[in-house]
Amino acid sequence: MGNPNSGKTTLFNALTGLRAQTANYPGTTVERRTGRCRLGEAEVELIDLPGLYDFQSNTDEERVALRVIEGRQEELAGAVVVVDAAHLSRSLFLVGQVLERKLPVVVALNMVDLAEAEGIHVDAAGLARELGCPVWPVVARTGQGVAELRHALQTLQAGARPTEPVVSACGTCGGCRFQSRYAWSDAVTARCARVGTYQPSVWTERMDAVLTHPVLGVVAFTAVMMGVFFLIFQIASVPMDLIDSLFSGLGGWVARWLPANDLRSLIVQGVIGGVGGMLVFLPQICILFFCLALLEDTGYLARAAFVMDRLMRRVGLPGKAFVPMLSAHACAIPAIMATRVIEDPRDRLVTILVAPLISCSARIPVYSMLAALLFAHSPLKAALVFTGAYALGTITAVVMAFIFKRTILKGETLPLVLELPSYKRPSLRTAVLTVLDRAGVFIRKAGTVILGISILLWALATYPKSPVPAEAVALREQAATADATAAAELTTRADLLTSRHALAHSAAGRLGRFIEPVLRPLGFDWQIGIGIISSFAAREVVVSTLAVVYGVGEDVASENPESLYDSLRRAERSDGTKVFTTATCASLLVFYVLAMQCLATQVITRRETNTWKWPAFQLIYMTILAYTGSWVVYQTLRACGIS
Amino acid sequence: MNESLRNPAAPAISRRLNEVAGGTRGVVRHIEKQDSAMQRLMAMGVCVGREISVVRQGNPLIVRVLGARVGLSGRIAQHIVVEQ
Repeated sequence: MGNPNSGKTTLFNALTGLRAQTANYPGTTVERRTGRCRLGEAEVELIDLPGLYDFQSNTDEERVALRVIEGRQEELAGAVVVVDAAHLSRSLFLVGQVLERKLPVVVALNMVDLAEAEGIHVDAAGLARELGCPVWPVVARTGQGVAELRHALQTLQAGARPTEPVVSACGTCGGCRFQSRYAWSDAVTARCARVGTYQPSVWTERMDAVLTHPVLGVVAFTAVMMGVFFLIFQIASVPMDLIDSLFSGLGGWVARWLPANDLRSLIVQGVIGGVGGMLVFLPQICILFFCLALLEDTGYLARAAFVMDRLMRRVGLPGKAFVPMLSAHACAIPAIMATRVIEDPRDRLVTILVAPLISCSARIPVYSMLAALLFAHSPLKAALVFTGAYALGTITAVVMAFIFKRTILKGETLPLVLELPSYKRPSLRTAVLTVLDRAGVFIRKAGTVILGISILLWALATYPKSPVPAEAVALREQAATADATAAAELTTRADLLTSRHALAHSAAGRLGRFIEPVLRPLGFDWQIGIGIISSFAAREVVVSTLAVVYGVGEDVASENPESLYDSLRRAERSDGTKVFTTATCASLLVFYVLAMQCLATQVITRRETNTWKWPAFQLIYMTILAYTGSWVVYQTLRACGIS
Repeated sequence: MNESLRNPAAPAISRRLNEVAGGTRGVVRHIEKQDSAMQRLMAMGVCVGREISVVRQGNPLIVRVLGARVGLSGRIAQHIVVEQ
């Protein structure tokens, strides 16, 4: 344990390497990072507690930490307290509290290199005498001193009891407990830390002059986030395409080996399609977390939270909520995982609830399709559609956050109290380990759901089976007697007809027709209904679903979107009216901007809030918003004479 | 705890922390409200008698205490009375 920014996690990683995992403390949303550490012959389990300044505070993190330290959570052999050598007195405030618990303690005096650079020299041996426990200087980032620390832990683990701690502050005898404990801290620091010529980091001051400036700071933050997004969208496309082709290749290969039956269809479309569909998220999530981990390690994220605080408070959210809200533009899942940094549970919950409203990258294929349908020949107008959709999502998110903070999650946001650590060179290793950890959580939690839903949807779209339509049979008969090229074309048409017919009569199709009366006021028909239903698992599925529903074929849809768009433009209802009119497209667009159509997000919300109540609420309120928005748009356009 | 070095002839002025000029320092004399946010600040070292300097005034403002830079809302800074 240790103060935030003391390099605790870096040290934990240095001791446990890849053998760490994250889970929640049962019944709370506080994360628990545990890992195995080899100490000589034996192996111990290390627990990384969240960073804290004080055990007796009121936050969830501190309550859980207190329970752990008092041994009520589990048996403890000892504690390693990570102390920032440059901030000794403040760290001792915490160390004093740990020593009082009569727990064997080893103090890791971290970041001695940075302290020395500032002119602060800490006498480790003297400190050890004062505290009555071993004190080991380390530089977790480079690994210096870690071996000695391991050795010290071994002795601790073997049951060596420290000499009685010389803590004279009891903390409760009259006066303020902070003052009495700090009186002790300051005295010990005065004896053990020598300040040569104090040279506070000049770089930190210079950079902060810009980065915490009310105007320049916001500009800088915008630039940094745009850089991150640029990276995400540029770099991610390479592995995403790779994963895509890998999985279609795999699907094709499997298809050759199995006879054409349901099992093959299940494996190829359900399982392989499902897993591929889930893994395709990974590159974006990994790059986002990597960038965020680096930014946090440098100390910049604290400045970002500081600078955005004033703006965010107008909406009732703390500055720290800005990073998750921005991350949601790539994908809501890492954004919701990133809300962890928000201390106030109410603020955190509000951010989690509105994050899915922000247009994520899964909506891009849908927006592209609808923009092309709306403005076929004007790329400028299509671009406006895109921008408008993004703006609608973000503005709605901000408005809903405001409403939630005023109504159901009422309460003043906690005032900002945030340490701005000195700027440091970030550790690539920590960033990579963070990414691996988060990606693992994503795959375990969201991945399993996406896979399950893909299989479910496959089943809904395949069963019940229906006989091949007469038309298709006729086409096949024709193909049998025609020459090669004509036969190929006829067979393709027959196949398309068959799949279209099959989908229409499957459970998904029937469901679509069942909800059609509800969708009519929005300008949708039952075929779009099937698309919407399949989207409730993952949005981008609608494009390929519509391809099948309108008889174009999925391969064509992915390779040549233009022809899909053409067919959709020409699609007609049975009474001859066009399906994708301007009003319908506009209303469908608004629906996709606002609807909750991502089961993976819901699962992550469940994990981060510990209950199904909030994901259910998300689904309900967003569906209401989407329906209302769509209805308003459709009816207004109709009323203005645009159909 | 150290007192800030000031001209002994000049009278000590008490101000709220959110009114202290940027780039100056003072000593904490009185903390008005001790809610959970203030307690967090106190755990970082802000107690009566502590020397604190304002790096950048504003809302939120940046102070330096015990060698660390801390960003604070004006709302919490207004409850800290500082003598300069």
